[in-house]
Amino acid sequence: MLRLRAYSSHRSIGATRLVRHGFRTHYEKNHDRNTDHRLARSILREQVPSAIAIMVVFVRADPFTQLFFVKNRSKRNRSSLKGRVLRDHTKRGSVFVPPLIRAMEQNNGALQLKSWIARLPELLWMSLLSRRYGVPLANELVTALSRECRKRVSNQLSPIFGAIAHYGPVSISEWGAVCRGLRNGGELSLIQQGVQPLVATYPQCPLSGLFSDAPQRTKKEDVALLSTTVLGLFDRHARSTVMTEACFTWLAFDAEVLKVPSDSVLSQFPSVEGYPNSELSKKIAAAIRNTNRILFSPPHYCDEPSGWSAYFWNHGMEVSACNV
Amino acid sequence: MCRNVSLPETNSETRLRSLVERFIADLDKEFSERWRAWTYDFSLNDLRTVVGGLMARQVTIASEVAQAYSCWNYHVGPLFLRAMSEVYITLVWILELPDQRNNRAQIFVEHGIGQQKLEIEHRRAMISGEERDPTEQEAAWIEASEKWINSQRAIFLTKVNVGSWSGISVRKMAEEAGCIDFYNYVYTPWSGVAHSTWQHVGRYNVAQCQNPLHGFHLVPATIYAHDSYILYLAGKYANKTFCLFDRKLGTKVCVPSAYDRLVVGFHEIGSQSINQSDELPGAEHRPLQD
Repeated sequence: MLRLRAYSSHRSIGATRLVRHGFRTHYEKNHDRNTDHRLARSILREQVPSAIAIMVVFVRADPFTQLFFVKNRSKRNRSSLKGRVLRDHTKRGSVFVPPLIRAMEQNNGALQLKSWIARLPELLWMSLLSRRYGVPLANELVTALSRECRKRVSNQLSPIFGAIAHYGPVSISEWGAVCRGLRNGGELSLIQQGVQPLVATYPQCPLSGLFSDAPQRTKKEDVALLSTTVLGLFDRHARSTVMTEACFTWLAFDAEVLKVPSDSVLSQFPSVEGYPNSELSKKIAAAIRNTNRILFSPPHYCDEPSGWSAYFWNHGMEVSACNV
Repeated sequence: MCRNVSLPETNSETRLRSLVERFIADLDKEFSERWRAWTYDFSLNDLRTVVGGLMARQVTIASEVAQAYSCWNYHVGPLFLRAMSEVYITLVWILELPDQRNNRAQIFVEHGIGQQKLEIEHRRAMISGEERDPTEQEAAWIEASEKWINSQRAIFLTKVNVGSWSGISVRKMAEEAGCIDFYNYVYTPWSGVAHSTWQHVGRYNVAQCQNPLHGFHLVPATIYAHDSYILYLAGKYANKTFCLFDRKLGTKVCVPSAYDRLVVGFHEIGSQSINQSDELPGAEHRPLQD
């Protein structure tokens, strides 16, 4: 449809900017859903350039964009539709299907709704390091650990090594090699101190391989720190969360899993540091969120939430009581 | 959470109690006057029976709601309001087409009798399935039910309609009778309460755990909030029914409106006691009914 076609014919225009340009006429004249979906699938299949393809597909289905079109409908159309409810939905029997869901169904599962709550525990370790050391040093530590693992681990779920679940397949001997490498670089003790509250509170955390001896029993302060950190991650537009997600995306770049063309907003990735004070940083943050959504899919992640994610939320019930 | 089943502890408690008593008396008077004002026509006997019965039902529910202070909350209050909204839609549909009124009233009665016959048959089937004689209590119930049916239609000539009584959905009835807004804004929201669907349960019977490590899950809760708005709405629906009666049947009565006096009474008691409910838990979900 619109944005994909616009993308293919106007490569210099970023997906977000497309929404802002007056392309309603283009939409109305050239609306061909099937062609666009085929194009979307081919882009996704070739994974070139994956980030932009992902972003374009998402902008295409963005409810705000839908709103844009609804708002810009001609007066004649508006008057003819006056009084109808759910007019942009598709009626199937007694069910009204929203446009985004319909688009997702037509994409043969290329687009799926992903629960943030299921992914949140995967990024918790990076957020903890950022809280303790600040973003620049935390990023260095995270990069060092993931690079060591890329070198030493044979059976890799993903070369990104950004999600905690990525560390699940690391064997004891491989952990030994990784720790030696990190110790030589001086990063091991910093990483251990940073993730200690997590591993102490959640003993089955895959990052426990970083410790030769199991960390001491969890303390009240550990639980409080984890609570605060998790609470912060629930706000996906908070700077701390955006920086954590950016760190994950950076690891995908570093692992050469993610490549973007020079005209993509993600090509200006370092400018995310200015978030949320510049328009560009907000665009990059949006692209990061959508890119990570795809990176948390096969082959770099499991279809369902990982065992770590399920364990994290289940064990959380034992760590502290409900607060109603 | 602690449940408050008494009147709000304000200095206007006594005044509110007398307001409720006056409201009930006004309702009775309004209905009696209208019933007297409706000219009797033997050819429309079924219509008169059904309309009278439904009007009395409306007045009864409104009066009971008024007296049941413990029901002025969103757990059970809407159960009464939903019943009142359905009575209104039933009445407005029956009275919509003058030449169809008596026929629709007959269908309404026949459906109800058929439902009673079906219930008797189910009960008999259960007893027979258990290969026993009916107990004394069961036999008495069956006999009383059959007598009730036979007093109106011979039971062996009574049809059993297992569909909706009107043959169409309530929505369609509301559409045909020109009160689809009432269906959308009153009947449907209260149906969520009557059927305990998620838009009600998710607001009034669960609360969010504030522990981030639990992922902000929802846990069972009973959230009680006393709200005199329930009484206000009961009065409003009763008044709407009286207005319908006057409009469709051409009656004119010179009695004070129970609803108007209820509203005035609320204002007399003072805005503090009325508006205090705005600060109660759950008040933000109070349906937009005005």
